Amino acid sequence: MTYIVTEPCIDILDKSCIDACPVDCIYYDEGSDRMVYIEPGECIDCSACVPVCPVDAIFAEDLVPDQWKEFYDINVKWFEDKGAIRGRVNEIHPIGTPPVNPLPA
Amino acid sequence: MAVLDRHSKGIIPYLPEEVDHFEQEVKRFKAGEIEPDAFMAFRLKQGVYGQRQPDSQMIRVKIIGGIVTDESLDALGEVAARYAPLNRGHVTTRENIQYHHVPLEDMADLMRLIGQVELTSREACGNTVRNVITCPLAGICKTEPFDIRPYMAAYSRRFVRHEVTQAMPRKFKTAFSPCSSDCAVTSMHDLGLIARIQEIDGVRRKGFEIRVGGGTSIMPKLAPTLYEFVPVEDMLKVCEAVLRVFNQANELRRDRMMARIKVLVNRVGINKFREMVEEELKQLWAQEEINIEDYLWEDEGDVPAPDPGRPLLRRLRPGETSSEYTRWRTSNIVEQRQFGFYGVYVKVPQGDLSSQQFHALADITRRFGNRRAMLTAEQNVLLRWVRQEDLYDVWEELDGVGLGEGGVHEITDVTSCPGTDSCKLGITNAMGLGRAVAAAVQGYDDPLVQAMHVKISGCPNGCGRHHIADIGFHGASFKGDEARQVPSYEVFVGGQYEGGATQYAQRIKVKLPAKKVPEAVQRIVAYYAAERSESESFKEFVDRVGPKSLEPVLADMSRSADKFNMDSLPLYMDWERNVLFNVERGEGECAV
Repeated sequence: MTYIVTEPCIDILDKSCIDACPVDCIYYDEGSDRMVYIEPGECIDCSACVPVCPVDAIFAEDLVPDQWKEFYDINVKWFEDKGAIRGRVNEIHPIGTPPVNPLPA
Repeated sequence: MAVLDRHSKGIIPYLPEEVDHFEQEVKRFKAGEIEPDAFMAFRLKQGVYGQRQPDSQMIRVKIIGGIVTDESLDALGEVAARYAPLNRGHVTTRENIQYHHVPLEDMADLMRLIGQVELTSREACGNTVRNVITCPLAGICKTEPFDIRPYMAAYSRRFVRHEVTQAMPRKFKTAFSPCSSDCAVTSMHDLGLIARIQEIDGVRRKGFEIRVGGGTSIMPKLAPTLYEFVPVEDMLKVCEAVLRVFNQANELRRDRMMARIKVLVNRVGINKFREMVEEELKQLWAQEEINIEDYLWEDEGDVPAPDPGRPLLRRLRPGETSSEYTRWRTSNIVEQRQFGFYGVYVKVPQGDLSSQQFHALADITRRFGNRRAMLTAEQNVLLRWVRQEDLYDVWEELDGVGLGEGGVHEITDVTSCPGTDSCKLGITNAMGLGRAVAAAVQGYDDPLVQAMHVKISGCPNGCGRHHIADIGFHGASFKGDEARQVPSYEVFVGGQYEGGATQYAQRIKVKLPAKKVPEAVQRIVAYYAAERSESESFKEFVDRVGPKSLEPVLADMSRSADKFNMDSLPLYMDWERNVLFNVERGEGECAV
């Protein structure tokens, strides 16, 4: 099992999850990435990242909503080919489109 | 419903046929006739957990309110000797006794052995009403308005094996506090009851304040009050309505990490939740009477033993002036409400008791108490009904089996969960760190420092109760040199659970290598001792200066891992381990 970051993270990049993760398994490259990614081999399924996400972007892998199923592959493959995944993220959520969920006031 | 004996030895009936069935199911499982998942759900309901080590199991014996007798202590010791390879049992922060590394094939015999003293492991695990805890002073406490134990027992008797509680969305933890000091920490429970007296139409009535929806782990919540006062006669019905509302909240079943009742209470708010409970109380089941009298349990033996007539005054023995005894006498003894009698706290390091120690405790209660003791959520034991003239003898006996240490509930009385010694969810070895921290905080003589509590959990879930500690830690890891994993801890400060005003500790932004934690505790203590105002407790100090002000004290240690070489090797290993650290976490079984 692992947890999966989905579309609402894009351009929000709040990073509370990174702070909450006890095993440092959430990654992104500053300046290059529009969202964060969970390394499935390192995730321990503690779910500490879920309640701290202000835009509800993180799900257990078997609970990812249908419209974001592709983000399983996106999370896993970012660790193999960052460039390709960044391109795919830009296709799914073009630059300039507003975030899925606005940050709570 | 079977008629329950008000004066039976055990609170929850032991059913031999349940154990026979368990034995048959084990055989069928071994023969491949039951799917592993189905068998897991079945064994959990009987209190048997999987462990980190695939070939052995943990069994949790449910000790309602931590209430034990000399007979049950002997049986628990016998279990440790016969079935636990490490010859010990573990007092948990839920007042249970757990045995680790037990082969599945031995479980039925183990259950029969504890069944002889009417103890059971039924519903000690799984999505059920788990062991109910209380304050070890229940029944002897000077400030309690009435003895809550009969009602706590009635609650357990009603809801264990109850049709509504067999497959709830998640586990359900309950606490009964005998007085406003709230020693059972009701606010952090799914359901908490605090004894109250209210005058209604000129009559003083016994009842409970009922709180619901507290919890810790990754989503700490304090339980709001559902009702300020529910008369004891209505207590079971109101609790049942709460359990039924929880059981029917099917949306909770979607995600097991978000399935506790606190999630529901937090989402709808306590007022709406109260409406749901009241709607439930209009349903058909609630029209039938639930007579509390049918469920009460009373311990007739929890009274003084006949006076053996030992002299109150006698010649001082040499050990009586020793600093060890004087220390113990100051910290581990509490006067009972009943004049001339004392409760004696036995400090059990990290909650581990050997078979010999179980038997010794049983023997001491026979000779000096009245065969009664209580396990505590602080992982200690309280002996009851000790006469003043016997205190020194009791200490000598305890000291003889390595249980004579003073400083109960003090900074040296470190709480830790089993961690990676056995738990599948553990990240770090909390037991090992617990021992290292306890060793590092010996010798403080400032009473305000002594009054601090250090608590350690091996993962964010919090079985070591780090959320309510003055200084709390939970297991973590970070990457050091060459991206090698370093066992480490998150740090929490300023929690409180004594005196009825529970407050959760706040995390500060440092991540400490496990091996640096003992020094970190010393540094925090030194900082507090130097900077505090007179008579300011650690919690008050943290409230005043802010948790963040502790970050610079530890900043140089945070995420510090030297270049990986022979000298720095220990930093890359956990406490009491001699292999490189690697996070290994299995699937939890809590929700199955």
